[in-house]
Amino acid sequence: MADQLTDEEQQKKAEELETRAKELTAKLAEKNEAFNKKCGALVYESNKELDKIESFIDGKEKEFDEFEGEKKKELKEAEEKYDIPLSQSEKEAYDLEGEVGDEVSDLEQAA
Amino acid sequence: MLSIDTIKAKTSEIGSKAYKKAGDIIESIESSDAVKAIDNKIERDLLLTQRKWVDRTVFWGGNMVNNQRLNRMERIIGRTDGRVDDLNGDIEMARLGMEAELRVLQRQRERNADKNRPTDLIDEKIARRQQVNEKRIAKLESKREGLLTVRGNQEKSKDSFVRTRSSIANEMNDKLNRDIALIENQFNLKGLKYKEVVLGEELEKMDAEVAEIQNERDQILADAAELEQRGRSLRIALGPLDKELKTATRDRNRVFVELSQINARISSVEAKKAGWENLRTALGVTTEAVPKDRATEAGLMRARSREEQIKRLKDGDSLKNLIAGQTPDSYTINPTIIGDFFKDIRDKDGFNQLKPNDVRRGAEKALIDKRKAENEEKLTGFDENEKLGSLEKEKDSLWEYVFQKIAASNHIEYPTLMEELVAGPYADIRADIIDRQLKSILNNVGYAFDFKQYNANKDSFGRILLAKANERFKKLMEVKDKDEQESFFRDPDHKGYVDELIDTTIKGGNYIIFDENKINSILAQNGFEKINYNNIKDYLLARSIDLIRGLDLNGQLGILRKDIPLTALIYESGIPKTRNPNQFNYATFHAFLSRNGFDKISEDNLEMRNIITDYINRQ
Repeated sequence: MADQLTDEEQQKKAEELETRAKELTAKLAEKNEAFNKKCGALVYESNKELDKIESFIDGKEKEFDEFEGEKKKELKEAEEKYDIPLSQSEKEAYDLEGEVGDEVSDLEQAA
Repeated sequence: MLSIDTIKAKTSEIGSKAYKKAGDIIESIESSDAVKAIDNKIERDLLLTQRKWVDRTVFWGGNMVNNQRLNRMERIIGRTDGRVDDLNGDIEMARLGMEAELRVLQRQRERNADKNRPTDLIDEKIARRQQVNEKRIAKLESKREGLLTVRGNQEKSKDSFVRTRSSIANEMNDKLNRDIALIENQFNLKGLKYKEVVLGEELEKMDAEVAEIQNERDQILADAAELEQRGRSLRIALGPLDKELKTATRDRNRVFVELSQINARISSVEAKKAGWENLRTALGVTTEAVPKDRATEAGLMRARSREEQIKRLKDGDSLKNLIAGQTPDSYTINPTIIGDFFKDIRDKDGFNQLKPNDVRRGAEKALIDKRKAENEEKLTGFDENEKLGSLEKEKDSLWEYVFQKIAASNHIEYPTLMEELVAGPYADIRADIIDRQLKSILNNVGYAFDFKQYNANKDSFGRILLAKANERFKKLMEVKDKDEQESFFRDPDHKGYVDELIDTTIKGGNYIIFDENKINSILAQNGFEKINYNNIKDYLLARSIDLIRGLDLNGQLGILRKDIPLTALIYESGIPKTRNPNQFNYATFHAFLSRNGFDKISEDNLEMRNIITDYINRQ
């Protein structure tokens, strides 16, 4: 116990504690410097890589917008080109039926 | 005064509180506005992008799986089929009706005939009814034919639509596959995730370190408290440690925020990539349903503009197949193969607006892009030195490509290129070749080097480039026959290279007398295995004379100042040996010198006479 120590022992103990505190300070400073150096490099490289990827993806996204726009246009054109309106087919069928009906009716009347 | 135990308990409590406080700080940072703001921004961007991809997936998935136009086309065809069926029934009924009516009339006629009544009227009626009914049936059949034609057209139209839609889906699929492959190649996600893990580990290690030191600090404080009871203060000694702990905690927290940001960015990138993949899945459902019709596709292609055809060629399958068929590791395509490919796609795929150069450029670019992606994948995680090591081991095909590109960008052709590259030690290789051209060429094929950050790379490049240039040159020489090797040597365009090649003998002092063995050895080492000194000695002498003639007076006198060439020159001039400088035949020697390129030294040049006097006196 400190109160049982002699002055000389107390002095020694105090010096030991001071030395230990200094050692810990130096150790932590060293660890922190290494930590900052390593993490700083990792963060820098990661962000650099991510900048590259994000910019690449953004570019691809824009490119895809244009590409998709063209494809939508092509699809719409194809729909308009190949989708024969229902009315046209129906009309063809009715017209045909009408003609036949008229002709048969004429013949029957004549008969 | 407080007891020792109370002080100990107090300091321990202070230590615990301090550590708890550090934990609270970390927690508060984790939920801090800074991290939240980062997350929110990335999240907002991501949501917008994801929303766009969801819309795309819904649109294209809907169009491919349940296209309303296509459904309608199918409904119309179904309805036409129904009408055709109805007509078939009508025709059948009409035929049956006609037969029944005719049977009735026929029986009526038979009855009249049995009763010997006239049958003219009934015969006429039978004929008329038959004619009417047949006409009606014919009309119904004609109507059915008409409807069948309409139906055929509807079917063709539907097929054309399905084919076009499928072709669009295939193009979308191709584009998505390409983009996904490029994104995957562009990503060094493995490397990024590794870095992320390392950062996490570093944080944990740092936390443990800080906690341990904090505990020790608390212990020191507790021990110090006992001493302080006795009037010894240690607080000053703990000041720097506390400051350092604060700094370490602050730095740790900063890295934590940065790691959070990296995590969020990686997740966002992956989520964006998923958009491409989801759309590909949505499209993949129907794309294999209708095979492409090459002739139809070719017809569509012919109607397109040149720019559009170039774009389609770039995005289409044919170019990819051509590239896939190339020898692995090749960086160039045989012009004959490109020529055949050009004719094939022009005649069979409808690329009628393209010129051979469009195809060549497109094919070469596609090949280099493919090699770039492969090399980038191969070099993933490599540092600068590892990349250099890999480059050094690259196959000849890459180096051949590099040399061709350098030659092309300089508007020079081999062997002037060789003169540039081989002349002098590697440090003399023109800096701009390394900095500007080689960097750009290598970048193009996936070898991205950081020249600014790693200045030493320049030297490494010089060394590798020179070794590869020499190797290539040797191979080029080896395939030449004796006459070709000799004429290469004598070609005035190559004199710079030849001078360098024989630099040590031609300029090393032996301007007139050459070391035959050394020359032969240099020739063999450089691929000139089919010629020797005897084949080129006249040329060497002529070059030597040229070189001497190119020197000024002092330069020419400089040669005489060296004993070895002076001895050789006196010997070659045929002047008899003399121990008396006054008896030396200057006129003959001068005439000999003049014949051998020493055109700046006159016969009475005092300096020359002094050199010879001194030389004779020393013998």
